[in-house]
Amino acid sequence: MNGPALEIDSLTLALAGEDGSPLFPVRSLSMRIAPGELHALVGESGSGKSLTCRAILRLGPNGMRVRAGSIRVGGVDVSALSGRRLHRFRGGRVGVIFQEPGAHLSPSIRVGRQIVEALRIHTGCSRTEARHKAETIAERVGLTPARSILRRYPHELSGGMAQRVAIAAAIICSPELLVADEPTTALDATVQKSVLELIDELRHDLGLAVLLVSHDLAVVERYADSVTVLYAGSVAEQASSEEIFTRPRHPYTQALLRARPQLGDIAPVDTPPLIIPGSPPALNAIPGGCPFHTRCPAAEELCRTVVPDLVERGGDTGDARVACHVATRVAGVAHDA
Amino acid sequence: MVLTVLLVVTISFVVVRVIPGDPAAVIAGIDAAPERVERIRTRLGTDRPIAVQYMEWLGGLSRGELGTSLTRNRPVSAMIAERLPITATLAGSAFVLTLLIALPAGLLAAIRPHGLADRALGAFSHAGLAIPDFWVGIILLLIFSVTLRVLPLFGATTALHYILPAVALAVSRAALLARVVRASVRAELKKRYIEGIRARGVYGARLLWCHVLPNAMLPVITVAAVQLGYLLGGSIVIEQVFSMPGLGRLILTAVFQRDFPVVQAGVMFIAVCFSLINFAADILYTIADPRIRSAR
Repeated sequence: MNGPALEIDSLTLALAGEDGSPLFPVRSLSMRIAPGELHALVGESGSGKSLTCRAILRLGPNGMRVRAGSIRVGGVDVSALSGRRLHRFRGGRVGVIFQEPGAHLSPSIRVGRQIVEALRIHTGCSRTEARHKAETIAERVGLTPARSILRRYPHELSGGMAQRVAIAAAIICSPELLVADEPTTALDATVQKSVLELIDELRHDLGLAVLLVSHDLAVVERYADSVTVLYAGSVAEQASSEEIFTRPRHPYTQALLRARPQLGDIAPVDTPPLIIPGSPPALNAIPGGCPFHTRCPAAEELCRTVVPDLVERGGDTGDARVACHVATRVAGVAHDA
Repeated sequence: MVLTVLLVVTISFVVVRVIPGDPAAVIAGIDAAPERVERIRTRLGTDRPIAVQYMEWLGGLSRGELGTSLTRNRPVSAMIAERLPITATLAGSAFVLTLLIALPAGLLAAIRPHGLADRALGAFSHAGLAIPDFWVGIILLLIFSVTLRVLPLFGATTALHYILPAVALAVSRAALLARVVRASVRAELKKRYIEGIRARGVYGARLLWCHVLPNAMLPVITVAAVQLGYLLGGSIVIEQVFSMPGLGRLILTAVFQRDFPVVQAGVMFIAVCFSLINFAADILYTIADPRIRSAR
């Protein structure tokens, strides 16, 4: 396949605030995910990660609209879809899995039927064919014995099994993109790992592009090819996973990395994990200038007044961009030397 | 279930005998001589102690006999059997009509809260709940039978006779049931699995019929079962308004005449109907919701 599976171009989302004035929970977000690539979207809660996922699927919340920019999946402009084509797009070209897999399955319908539902309505394949496909895909995602599990109801499944069912339902139509909105946050650690391994396998085998929303940096470091760090709705830093984890440039990325629990042999014993002081701003009170300047240890006068552009920051592997006045200047100096 | 029926039957047995009024006096007439009343009382067996009468009646029940009417000297079972088809037809058609109104109306209203359909349903159900069914019946009679003369006025001889009473009954019941449907569907639509299903590209009618409705059915089944139970017991007032010789009228007349066996059998019949319908509703729950099935 040529071209990116997902291409978001300076996307700005608008929501109506309580007093009617518009809020912009996501601003000027751009990203590209190639087929087979796993891209992680990282940030604190409220940074706009989930809203971005919803915007890709055009799935609410009520009142949210694309104010500027575009989202393309496999070259198709999502905001141009309507009616039948939109429904075919959901579940057909994009699969999605959510944080609480059990809560997102229809409680009174056998999981086998739910897995193939998208296939049945989008391609109109026959019942026997659908059953056959369900068994094949169930075995593929590790639901064995497939036959008996497919006959169960969602409440009869464990969290890990429910997430496998959700994955099977999401990829049954061979979509180009899988949106995984914190798919393992609600699962316990061992199950979490096996589900992530499954997603990792599937994207290699099927050439599936994956947008993984997570705030678990250990997961991101292990599985992601590339990372977007969102802060208060705008991109702080965007680079390959290796760049982000070995040479973070944005003070927010650096703080995130310092704030995660470390094993003794990685972190110097005398530096305790740091907590980022303060909390992310509310949507209706995003500060002017760099949104992070109120919590940034390196903030300068410039940061309070001028929004930093997302610029090439110079990395060893692929594209790397950062939106920080200080980091850009330091990088510039380094290049000159 | 057997216990419920027995309890209801016993209470009804005691109550009809405790309330003032003597079937013998009713049969003999107001001016009858006391000796004549006494003779009738002995013939009916109502002069014996209540306990004896009760045991005798229970004995009859165990042999499948409901006793003999005091006023008409006919087996009670035959009297019920000839009235039952009328009531059953009326109840059945009213119930089907109720469902046909309430399910789509409730669904439509739930899809778009505060939309046109929702406001229309609001008005309909307020009116339907506030106006008694017999009044609706009278209005319908005035319009269709008296003014337009398109439907028959009284009786229960042709299918046409059932239209107006069934509509009158259905309007009031649908008013309540549609609200239950609306509330239940609304609650389901807010749940997260709806989002999960929509993310798979399911939409519109399929979303509602295949996913929302089955999950929203439990409260609807509960209310509908109670409504059907009442309908089968005979819609006393509606049968009166439309002069339909149904079960309700049979029981009503029997109460006035202190015809104990008929009242008892009638009450027992209603109790059995209620129990059976609720039993059926329990089974329907497990069909509608697999979570109940596995909880057993």
